[in-house]
Amino acid sequence: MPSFMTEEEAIAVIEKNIDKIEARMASGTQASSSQANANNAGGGTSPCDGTCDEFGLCCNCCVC
Amino acid sequence: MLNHFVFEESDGLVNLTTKKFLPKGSTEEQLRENFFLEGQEQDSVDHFLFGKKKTNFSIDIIPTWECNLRCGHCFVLHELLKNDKREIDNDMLVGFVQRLVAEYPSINNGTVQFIGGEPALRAEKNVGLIRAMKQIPGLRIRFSAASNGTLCDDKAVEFFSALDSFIISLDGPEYIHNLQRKSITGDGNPFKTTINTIEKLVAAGMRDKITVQASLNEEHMTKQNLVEFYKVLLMCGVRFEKIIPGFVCPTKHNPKLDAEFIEVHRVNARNKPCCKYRHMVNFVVDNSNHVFCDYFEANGKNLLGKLTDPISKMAENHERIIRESFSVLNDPKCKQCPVIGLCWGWCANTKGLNPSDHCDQELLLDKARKNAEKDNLANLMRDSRKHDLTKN
Repeated sequence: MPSFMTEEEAIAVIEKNIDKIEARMASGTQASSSQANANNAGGGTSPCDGTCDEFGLCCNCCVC
Repeated sequence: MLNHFVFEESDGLVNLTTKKFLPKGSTEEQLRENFFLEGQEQDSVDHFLFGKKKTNFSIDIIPTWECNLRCGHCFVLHELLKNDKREIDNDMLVGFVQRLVAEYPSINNGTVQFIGGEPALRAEKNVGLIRAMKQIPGLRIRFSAASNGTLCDDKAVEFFSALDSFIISLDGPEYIHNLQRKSITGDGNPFKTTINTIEKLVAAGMRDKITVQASLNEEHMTKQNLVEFYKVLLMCGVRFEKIIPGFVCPTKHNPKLDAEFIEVHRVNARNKPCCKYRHMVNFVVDNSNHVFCDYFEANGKNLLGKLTDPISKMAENHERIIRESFSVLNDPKCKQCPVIGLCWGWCANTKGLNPSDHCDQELLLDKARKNAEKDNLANLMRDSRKHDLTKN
């Protein structure tokens, strides 16, 4: 079992950010293609850090 | 008289299509040169789509169509091969980039994404290509990849280490992941294999490079599943903000449209066309050493040419493909739309829809007007740094 963080610590992080998880669920946001994902990972300006004002609404596409 | 792409702010005018700003008091000549005048709508669109000034490029590299998984929701399931002996010629690819930069000298940075197939199956070859591309003078290139994370031998680790960042696909908790993601041999536990890889990469100091993407269907997208998913990944060392769950997208073999998705997203500003329609900016190179403009259909229909073909010939081919297949250029209502530059057809492009049948122009237009009133159009055009929105 992974051990970077304890289960209790992980749950604490989740509880603190549960609104972001719920927003993601509610948005209908689709997972991107591999292509788009890779672009996002490399882009450096990806909105996917959860701090963008359109988090949860973004289509997670390669535009960003 | 100004054309209907132009919006007025307190200190100047903004052409939403070209992203160009001109100060108030600009002469008619300046307005004409920048396609602000009535009757210059088509020129605005053409200038934005096909202008020579480019600052960056993006290449999706498909080193192999082999994959060791067969996932039900895969976009390119129909393209995957059991054995694929073809190889990208690294020298040809480096030569292509050098000629591209020579043709468009304003390019100073690029992104290269390894996708596939499973790119880690060609780890050693990929590392060689990264090293070669880093030698190209005057360019800053970021390297990334999308991987299923099932390979973590020394060569794969070296490949991941050579990247600036990468995506690992993990589709929720163990039972869901293994339901969607099957090994090609039908045995093993893909979830545990990928988790082991993530742990190994985190231990090797790559924590900040890792993003984990999940594709879940509506049935599995529950709070309970997501909490379990986040918990396992956090314990592995993946950062919270780098865990990205999303819904499974329509594919060729399961093309159901997500009406809710279109409903939610139609009023968000989208400043650039889908990557296929970014003229001579986005490329897909596969291991037949051909260049395409579309990953999902990397075939003759979207072929720009061979890696060794003249750049000018590829540019001609790309412009033809865009003019023939870009939905907004073939929808009469879109061509007259004042906010085409904030839309570009959205997901209608990839879903075979007629854009104007699924849009609510007034909502986006209202958003543009309100932002103009607040001198906030630059912010609405979030990627304006990449364009020519400069307040002189």
